Amino acid sequence: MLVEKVSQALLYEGGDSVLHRLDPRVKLLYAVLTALAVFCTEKPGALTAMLVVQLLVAYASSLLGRVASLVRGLVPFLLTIMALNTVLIYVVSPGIEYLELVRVFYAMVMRVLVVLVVFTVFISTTSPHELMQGLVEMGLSYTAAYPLVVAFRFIPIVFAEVQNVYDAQRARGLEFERGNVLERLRKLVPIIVPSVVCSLLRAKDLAEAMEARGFGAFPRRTFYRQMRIKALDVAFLAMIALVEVLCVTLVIF
Amino acid sequence: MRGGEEVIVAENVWYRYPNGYTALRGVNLRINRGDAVAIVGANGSGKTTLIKHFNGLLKPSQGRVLVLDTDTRSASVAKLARWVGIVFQNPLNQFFRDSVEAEVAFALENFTGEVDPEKICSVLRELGIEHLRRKSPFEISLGEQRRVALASVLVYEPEILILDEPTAGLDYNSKMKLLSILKRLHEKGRTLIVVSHDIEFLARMLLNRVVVLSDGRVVFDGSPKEAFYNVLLLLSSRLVPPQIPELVIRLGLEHLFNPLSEDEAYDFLRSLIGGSFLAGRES
Repeated sequence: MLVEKVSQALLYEGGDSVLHRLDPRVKLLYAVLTALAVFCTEKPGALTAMLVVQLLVAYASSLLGRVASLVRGLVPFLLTIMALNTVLIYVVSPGIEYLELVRVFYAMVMRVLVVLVVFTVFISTTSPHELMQGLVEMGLSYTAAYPLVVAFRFIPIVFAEVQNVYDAQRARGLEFERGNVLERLRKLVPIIVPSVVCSLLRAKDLAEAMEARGFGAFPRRTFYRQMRIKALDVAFLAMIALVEVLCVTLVIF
Repeated sequence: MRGGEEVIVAENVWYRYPNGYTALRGVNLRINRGDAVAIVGANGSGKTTLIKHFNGLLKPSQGRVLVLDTDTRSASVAKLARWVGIVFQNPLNQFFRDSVEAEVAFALENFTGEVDPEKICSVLRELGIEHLRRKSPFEISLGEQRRVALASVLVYEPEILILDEPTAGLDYNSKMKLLSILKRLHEKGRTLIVVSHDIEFLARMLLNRVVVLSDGRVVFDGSPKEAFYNVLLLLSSRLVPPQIPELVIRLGLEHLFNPLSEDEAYDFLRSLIGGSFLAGRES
């Protein structure tokens, strides 16, 4: 299943690249700032340069393969958005020039790709626990940050569950191979409802089990491993910021 | 009992999951019409993987599976599921409608294209859950949910019925009810396959065969008496004998008689003593 592939591409994978060694807070800052930066410009050249920079970062953390499979999975989504946008643009401003439309779309695709790459890099090189600790160190309460770890850990379990639901319904004669688009969409209901119900029940059980074991009993908690901003973090952030500012301001076309 | 005709044939079935784990390693199994077969084995021995081959949810990586002489690789799941009804372990994996009645109607609609309210009612009545038919399948007890899942398969009358861990989480009364339902189906000549760890339940079921899986292979295929008195075999599946065989083995009487349930043991003892000693128990 496509969804499964995309979810696998988003899971943390241990490693020893520069990105793996960075402080999670620095990586989060990098991802957020970059995502904001691509919305500061519409120039095709600047956006292309930004994408190249992110691809270099992905290459440095040997994640190009993942990025490629993720992009492949998102092609249908991008095409749908483009088609809807085209209709909308012609409704809002019917006299739009063809070249302008291409520019708009190019900017859109580049932005989606940049955001996709930075967040893939971020998520693939940061373990859920590191991310959670980073957020807690930034001031978020532990009880609010912990669900993040849970969400990541439960991704494979939820997918196994969806597979079971799919099997159970096919065993009761549900056929996805037949029918037009509308009928097929309606056939998703027997898959979605049990999956959601099972997830909610699991969430409730988990919450009760955690409370029973004293989760959130103390407002502050400490961590065994302390986080510190190192020279490497500062160097990475400074370099990325410099390059990105140059991309956005200096590329003039 | 009709019999003799093979309804499911597994020939040297190998199955490897996409993640590389090999769950079945050359399974050979022939199930006859009217059989009541238990498939037992430790966790991870390949039981669920095997039954998913019987309605085509999984296709063998090597070897072949024939269901009513049809190779599962050449038939759709829907076609095979019409013949082979599987009741999976977790009923919540299949409920999506707002009433028990509608839930039971789902498979019937898919297979026959029409809903026969009479039929739904009679199946619900047979399982003793007729009073629940307007209730949401989410707000009834687990035992009742199990029966609704069973009803949703029984209603379209598949020739072969497979139950995956049907007793997990059921209380004693629900188990006994399930037992009598299965007994009735067996008497009607339906082919039953039960995958279970619940050795006491299996000992009380009128089985004619027990198949033991271990590490993706069939390591035993024989009568329940042979299986449930074979301590080493059961141990290999991390099971112990049911309590009556256990008692007989401990007393060292297994060469004398092999009862599986209290009733069988009682009948034997009574015939031995001629009824005089135990006569009081009957009143």
